[in-house]
Amino acid sequence: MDELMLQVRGLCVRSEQGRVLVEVPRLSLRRGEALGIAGASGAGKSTLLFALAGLVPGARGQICWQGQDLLAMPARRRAAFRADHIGLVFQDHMLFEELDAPANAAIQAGFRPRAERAALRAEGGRLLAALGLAGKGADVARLSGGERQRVAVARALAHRPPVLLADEPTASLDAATAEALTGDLLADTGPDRGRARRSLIVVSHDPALLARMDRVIRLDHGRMIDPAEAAA
Amino acid sequence: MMDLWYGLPAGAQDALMLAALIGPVLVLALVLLRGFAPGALVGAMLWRFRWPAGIFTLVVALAVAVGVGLIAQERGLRQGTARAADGFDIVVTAPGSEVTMMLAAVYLQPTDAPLLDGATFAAIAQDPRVTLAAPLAFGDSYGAAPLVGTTAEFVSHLSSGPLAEGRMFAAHAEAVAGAHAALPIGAQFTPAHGIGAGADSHAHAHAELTVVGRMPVTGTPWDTALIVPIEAVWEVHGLANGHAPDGEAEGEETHDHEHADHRHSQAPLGRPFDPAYFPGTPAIVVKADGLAASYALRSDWTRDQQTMAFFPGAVLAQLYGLMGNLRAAMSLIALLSQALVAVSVLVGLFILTGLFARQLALLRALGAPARYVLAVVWSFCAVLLGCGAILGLAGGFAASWALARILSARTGVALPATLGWAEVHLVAGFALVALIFALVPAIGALRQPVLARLRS
Repeated sequence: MDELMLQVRGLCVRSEQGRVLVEVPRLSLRRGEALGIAGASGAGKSTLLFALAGLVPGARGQICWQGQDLLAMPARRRAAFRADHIGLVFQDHMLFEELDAPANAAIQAGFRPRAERAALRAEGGRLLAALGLAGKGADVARLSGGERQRVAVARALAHRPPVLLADEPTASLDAATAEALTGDLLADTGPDRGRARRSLIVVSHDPALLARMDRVIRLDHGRMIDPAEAAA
Repeated sequence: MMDLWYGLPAGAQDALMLAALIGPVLVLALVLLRGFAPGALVGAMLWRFRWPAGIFTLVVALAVAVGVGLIAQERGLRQGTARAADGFDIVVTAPGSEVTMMLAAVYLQPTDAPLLDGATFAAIAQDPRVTLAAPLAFGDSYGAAPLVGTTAEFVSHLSSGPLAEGRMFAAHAEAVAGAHAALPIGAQFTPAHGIGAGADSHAHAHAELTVVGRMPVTGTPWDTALIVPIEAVWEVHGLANGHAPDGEAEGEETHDHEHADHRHSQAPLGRPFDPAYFPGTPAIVVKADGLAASYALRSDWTRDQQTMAFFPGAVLAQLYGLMGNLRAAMSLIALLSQALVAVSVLVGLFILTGLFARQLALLRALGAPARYVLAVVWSFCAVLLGCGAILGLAGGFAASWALARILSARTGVALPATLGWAEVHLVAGFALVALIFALVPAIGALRQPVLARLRS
């Protein structure tokens, strides 16, 4: 886990009224590392996660993914970077209800170059099968919460991003389903064994999930409680 | 450049105009969709929001159909009325309103008109430049069918050939039915005096006429009429029949109906008429042996206080000119209403786009390029607008066809219902403006804050 995936310096997110929502002087993450973000509701966990994805307007400082500062990029490049390097899982699944599970998993096929589309669809299908959703494709509205969240995970991973950002992924799941999903999220993370590993950042209140992270940072009113946890 | 344009055939100009209207849409589609495959997502969104999308499409179709229907109907009305006047080269009447007399002679609209005397008719009929002169007599009817008195020669002229069925009237008590008149061959009828609800069905109770033939379709109100020898019209009104009675001194009057009827049945039909026994005619249809002769005759027979000669086609052209001004005014109103429709379309598109704002925000969060999001929204709108435009074109044509049938049935004027370039240009122009407008909600969707939309 030597390669530095993420380096955050002087990140500050303010509300439109100027109130500090998140202030992170320093934060880093290595390839394959699993980082948990914990804290009370309203502590700024999700805001920090979405800021790391370049989705929060008005964020200041540096968010360098593999040396590339996301905040210095124009919006177009930031979107392209997200499409290539970041997988996102949301708390309430955020599926395209009008599409079936395979189409949801391969949603990027719509805007990827023609040459990549078939591989992306194949990877989406493989992931759905690996996540136990083979043959459950017709209508995502009929899937259970856990199944819908696994479709969202397949969508986040189908383009093989080196980092996965998940916001409260187990919040609406029962313990057993949450445990299974945690395993899915942690797959391909861990120490480098010669293969490309995936880094994971998870925002959660779930102690079981946080317990399986390599490292957990805690936020209170947007600020890290123990800055020592910031360094990888 | 203008010379080149005006040098092109009309069809080429219309095709180029269409290309100019569609071209920008195709370029826009190419720019937006190049390299993307939004079809599956757009199709799924259309299906998911099929009810609001369907209603929006129907509203667009209705707006387009009104415009298409109006244009098609106006053109059909012009073509139909012009075609109906084809058989009436020159009409000579007493001085008065050309429009009124044209409506009476060509379109069989009831009117009270002063009569031309026998000497006038004779002078016209004997003019060497005249190839056909036919007196007309109106004012009677049978049921809904107007009764028109004229000559067999004019019936043949208007039919442009032989009758469709039966034979031409050859006796005073015989009639030829228009193509759509309700009476079959062999039917006998007694004409009523007057036309419409106020007609007196007993005034001519002594007269009984028999249908012996049927005209082909002429596309004129004459198709619904019953045509009889003009002598019959005069006779049922107790007038002389246009021909001197055999062995009877000029000016002698007959008061005995039985004897009069016998003499009438023996009298000849059609030209020449005896001016002394010519009761008068409100209109004479004249055909000349050439264009120059037509103009000369019109000039010669336009005389103060005596006669008025006119070309029904020219009167129609004046009416069309007036209609043209009205059309320009209506076009302005139509343009304003179309602008209102366009604003409504824009508002509708914003509402529809709002239905899937969360999906669009999700696409952007997942890293979709802005152009892809534009392509999705624009394609969604384009499908609705395109379907609305095509449905509107079809609906406008159907409405025009139905209206033409109704008006044809009421007036007898065959009104063609066709789709022309004007309607196609209207729809293409509408599509161009609307599809450019469709970019506005698409751009608006891009300006929405992603996180706020995702959390909404």
